[in-house]
Amino acid sequence: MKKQVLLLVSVFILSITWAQGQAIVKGVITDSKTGVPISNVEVMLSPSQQGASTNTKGEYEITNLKEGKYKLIVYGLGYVRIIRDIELKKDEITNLNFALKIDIKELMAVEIVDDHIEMHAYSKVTLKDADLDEHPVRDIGDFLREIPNVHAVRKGGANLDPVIRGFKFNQLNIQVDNGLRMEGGCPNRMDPTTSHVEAGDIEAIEVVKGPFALRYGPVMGGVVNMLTINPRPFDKFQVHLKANIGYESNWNGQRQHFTVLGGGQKVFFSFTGNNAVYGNYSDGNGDQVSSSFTKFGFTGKLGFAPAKNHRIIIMYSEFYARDVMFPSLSMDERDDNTRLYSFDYNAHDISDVIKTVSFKAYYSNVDHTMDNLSRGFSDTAAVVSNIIADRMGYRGEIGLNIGDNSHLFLGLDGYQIMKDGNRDKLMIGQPRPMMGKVPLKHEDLWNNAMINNYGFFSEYRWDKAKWEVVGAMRLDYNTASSDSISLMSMSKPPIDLIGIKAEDTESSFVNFSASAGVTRKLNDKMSLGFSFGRGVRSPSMIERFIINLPVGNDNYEYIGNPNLKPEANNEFDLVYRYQHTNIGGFELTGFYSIIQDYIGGVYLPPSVQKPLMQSVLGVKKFENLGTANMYGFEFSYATPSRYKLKATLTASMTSGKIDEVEVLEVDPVSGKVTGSHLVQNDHLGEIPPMEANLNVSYSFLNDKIVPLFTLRYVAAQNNISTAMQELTSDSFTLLGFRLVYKHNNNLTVVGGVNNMLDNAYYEHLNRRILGTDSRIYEPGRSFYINLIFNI
Amino acid sequence: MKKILIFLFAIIVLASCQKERDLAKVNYSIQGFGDPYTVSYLDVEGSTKTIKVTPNGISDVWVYSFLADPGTPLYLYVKSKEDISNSMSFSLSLKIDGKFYQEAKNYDGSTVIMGDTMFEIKRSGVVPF
Repeated sequence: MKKQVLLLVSVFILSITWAQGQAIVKGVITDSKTGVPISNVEVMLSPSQQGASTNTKGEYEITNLKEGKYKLIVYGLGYVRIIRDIELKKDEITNLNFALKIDIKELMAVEIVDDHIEMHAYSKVTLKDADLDEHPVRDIGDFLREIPNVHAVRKGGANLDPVIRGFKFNQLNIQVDNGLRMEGGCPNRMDPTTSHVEAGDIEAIEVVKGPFALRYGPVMGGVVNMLTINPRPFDKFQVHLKANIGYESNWNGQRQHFTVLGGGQKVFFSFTGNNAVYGNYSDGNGDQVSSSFTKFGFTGKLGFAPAKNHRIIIMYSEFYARDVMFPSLSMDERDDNTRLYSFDYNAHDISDVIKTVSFKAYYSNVDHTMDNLSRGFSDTAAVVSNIIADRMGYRGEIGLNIGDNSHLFLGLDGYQIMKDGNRDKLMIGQPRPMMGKVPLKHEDLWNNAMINNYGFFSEYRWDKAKWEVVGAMRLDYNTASSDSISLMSMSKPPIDLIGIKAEDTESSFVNFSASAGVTRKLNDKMSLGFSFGRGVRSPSMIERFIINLPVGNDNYEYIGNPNLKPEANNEFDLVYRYQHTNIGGFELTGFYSIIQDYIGGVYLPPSVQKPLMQSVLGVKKFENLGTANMYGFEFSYATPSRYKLKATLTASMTSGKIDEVEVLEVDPVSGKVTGSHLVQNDHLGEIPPMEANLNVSYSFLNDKIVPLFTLRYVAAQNNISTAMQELTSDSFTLLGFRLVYKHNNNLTVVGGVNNMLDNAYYEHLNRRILGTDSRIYEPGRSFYINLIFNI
Repeated sequence: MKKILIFLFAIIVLASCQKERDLAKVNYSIQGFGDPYTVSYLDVEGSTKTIKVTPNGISDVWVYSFLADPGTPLYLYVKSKEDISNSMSFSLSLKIDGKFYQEAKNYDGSTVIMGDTMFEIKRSGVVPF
């Protein structure tokens, strides 16, 4: 910890240069074609190294400048850089406006969807594709761990399941391209939404923490919006190609990704393809972890511009996963075939009042097969599970200018999820056939389960002078039903061991969610934001309808409960921001959540429900457990991006408790549940510990060569859930190094090493290896190289 | 540079094509019986087949072969009145790509069915990945 502090202090000393003087340079940066102001454009002066970024109105201002000659550099992502010689005089204000031209080479990499309005009342993090390109991103869930207070549940080598501030699974709204959502097939969440998207296809990821962004569907804990490569019009017909080839030593893993982008003014297209083959990795102890996987797929998008400011995009994708190993579970993902279809219509600047119109319709189909066929115990029973998960939905929105600095968004969305799946157990361990056949047990996991949701949403934004206000609401009507939730015994005649009839599975809810935020600019450097949100979500497919499967962190089978009530998160966020042109930017966010009708498991004694598997402790049923609360903070600091020596420092912490919960008493010898008692203020399970990250880089030869050192410290987690029989985890420190070499506009080479000291460690959220109390260790030292080509 | 990139592009496109798993050759075989016996096995479709085999002599070999994906369950069961415990030439085997995967040289146990003592042998498993 001392080393971290020393390093941070050194960064400050090196980076702080206090300028004094009277001259001022200011202006507005716009897009040369549309005239729209551009935010986040860097304007810097050389040799003073002073600079500023444009605000949402495209304005910048650099103060306290000495008189003299400077080079003024204007750089916006996706635009041609401008360098101009200027001369500043004492006591003068120099006005310099620039209209930036689009840079086709840059556009190959990035076109961020941005409505040019940024809110500051809650935490929003955007990762752009430069971040993705320069990492060995084999899994999006893994990559999201870069963001403070975002973690992931690891059950194997891939398909990590994101957790934001302790909210996980269906408490999060994880989507693609502003509204497309997929329903994973696996009841054990081996295939979260992020696993059905190729990392190389992503141009940016937006993460909004808390129940505030209500425009994109029901949300409780946060939104992850993955924006994928979109085709775009070109002045003249042209075709561009981008390819990314990577290798990771520890996994003996290789991946390839390509993008073809082209077209003309009216018709344009993009086509991407990906392939990744990874073996097992070794942890820091040198032990091999069963973690191999193969993934491949393609996406085609066709765009039309029928009129100025109108755009239609049609998308079709296929993604495949093969042999994805999960040492924490009794089965592996053998095959996963995902198909996505979407239609998007977007228009902007239709009239003075109608600013934007958008409509999206989509359909996703996941065919997911798991089995135990590469496990030693498959000799007893060869188990194969197949699930078909379909999701279709729509989203329509209109954005209105309803006055000076006032914007109103109104819209409707809806989706339908259908799931059906079963598990077949071929009992090849049986010493003899029964009735002339090798015995086959057939069990339903879901029985034609269905959820429908129809939503209405609105969001109002207003900003003037020092104030920014945002308010949002959504109303959801949610219905669910299933065929009977039953589990038939092998006896003659068979007996239904659960016995929930189809008519008893039906439920419907009307959920009201709302959020409001206000930001006050305290001065030109500081702002303070306060938000309150209430996000309500209806129970998920798993929580409502799953049939005897160990889907939790604890060693119990779970049964769904169609009578569950919706879960609600009431959250307060306080955001303090400080931005100084020479020191850099700080952001400190604190949050406090009160979760009502928290959904968890309640034990059913064997007299009520016996488990299917002998290896589990028993059966739990999903119930609303009462009230829980969570609180924590995130801190981030970054030096100005114009500096050659750059540093970022982040830190985060979350803590959570539940008012009252049942704790089971288990006989350590027999492994049987012997009793239970109630515990007040038990810690919530699967809450990540405190952690801090420091990244330091230096830019040589005008960004041609950039070495980067990373340091990550994660504290021990001793605040564990006794109800979930959770295990504590130890602290660890990791070092990494990366070197980015930009050979020219066509070739960039990225090389580096993760876990440089080859530490043996595991994240707190990593699941246990099946049948043990040992967590899945993270990879040991791994060297990697990425080659990025652009033509 | 363009030629190199187009070459790389072609490689990536080829690598992105859907991959098929290599099929394995599975071979069930039984030999050493002199008397009729009953065989139950999982066939190429995964269905249980039960047949009665009447050998001409102990040198007769019963064989069933098929091509299978990795992960295919295998099951071979023999029931016979003939006590093969002293028959050194008896063998029941499951081979995958010509290599022994499971083998039995003796019976596993016996059971009395309809007053007859029946000797049983079972071998099973899964085609490895």
